[in-house]
Amino acid sequence: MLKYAGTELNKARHELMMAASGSDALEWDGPQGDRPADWLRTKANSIEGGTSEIMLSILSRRVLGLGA
Amino acid sequence: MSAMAKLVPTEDETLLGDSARGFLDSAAPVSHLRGMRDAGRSHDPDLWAKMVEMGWAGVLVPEAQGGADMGHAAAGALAGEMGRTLVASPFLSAAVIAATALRQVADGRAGEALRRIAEGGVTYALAVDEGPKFAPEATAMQARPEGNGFRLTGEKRFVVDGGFADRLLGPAPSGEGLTLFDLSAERAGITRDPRPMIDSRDAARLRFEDVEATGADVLGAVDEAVTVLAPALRAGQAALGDETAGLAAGAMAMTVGYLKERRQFGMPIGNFQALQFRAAHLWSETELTASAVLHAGRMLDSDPDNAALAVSLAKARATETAQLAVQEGVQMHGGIGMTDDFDMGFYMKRARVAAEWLGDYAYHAEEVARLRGF
Repeated sequence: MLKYAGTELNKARHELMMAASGSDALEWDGPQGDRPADWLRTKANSIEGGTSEIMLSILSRRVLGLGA
Repeated sequence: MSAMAKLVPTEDETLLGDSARGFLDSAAPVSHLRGMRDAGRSHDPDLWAKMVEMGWAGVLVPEAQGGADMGHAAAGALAGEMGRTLVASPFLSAAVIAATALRQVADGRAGEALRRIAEGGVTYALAVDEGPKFAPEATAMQARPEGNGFRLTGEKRFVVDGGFADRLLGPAPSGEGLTLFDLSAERAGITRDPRPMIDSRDAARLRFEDVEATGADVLGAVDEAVTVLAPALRAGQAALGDETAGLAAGAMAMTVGYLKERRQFGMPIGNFQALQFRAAHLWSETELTASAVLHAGRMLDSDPDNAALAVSLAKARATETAQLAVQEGVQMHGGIGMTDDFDMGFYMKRARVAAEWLGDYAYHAEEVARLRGF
């Protein structure tokens, strides 16, 4: 559950930081430094080490007993 | 509902869109943008010259000035096709925003500028942002009256196409209000700093140091920039909504293709209901967004004074749909969606820049709320 919630939260957190930084975060090496590169990197969080879909599948089978 | 107001493209718009798609699929697929990025270029004058030849630069220019005068819905059809394959061109800056501004001014100089846009003889960039967020009314740049003219001092940033444009269009406070200036980008005192943008397109920071501007450089009336600027911004926002909607459709098409082709557990992953639901939801969003952006174009063509609500709705909705399309695109492609060899990253980066330009989701949602009296 923490893998799912944590990675999705991290993606949302970086989306918010990009929006709050406005055009400053649209430049590579701009006033926000690595922010755009960090933002793009978070998109892999919900894929690597087991996708969010795999995590949700495990939760529905093991925790909720659906389709077990 | 009159025929003009129907939310389906007219025969002319469909023909225009189809011919644009045919041309762009061969002349400017996503690999074209990738090639430009890899070569360190953010603008392709040859591609723009071909678009000019096809009449796209004059889509909003009156026939008397050599344009096609097809209207904003038609301009939107072109922008949408450009969005589909992430085409980088000065179309929005010159052919939509500058042309719309110039059309508000009925003098010989504006007419001549429109003729030059239509024939591809001049490109424009809109210099409006001074902070990290779009706020056209919060302009701190100084226009100090001197003799018969002004001296301009200040900075503009996120000036899209500002690194290569021939002319700059920008407002500055001049006393009682904002005055809109139309200046050569080579005017003494202007320095341009093109920035490396995440979408690999052109945008620059501009510095104005005691730049001399005469009455002939003022577009419209002194202190009345808004009369000229507001319609130009709305036209740009609507066309950017179209481009963004096209981007979402392009990203979705790529993703749906992958769902049909990629096999896991002995079948295409598109056979899994969990992904079918998400793909169908995304498609529904792109359809609603297509109607919203077409409606914005229709309103600009038929009732421009009351088009603000439709335009902000379209820009906000297109921004959200594109974000969904690129996020689902990366996630459903899995690990390869993250790689640079795959085009989805280009869509994600352009979606982020387009989301900020000319007002983000929050800006336009607030406009919608205000216009609806909330």
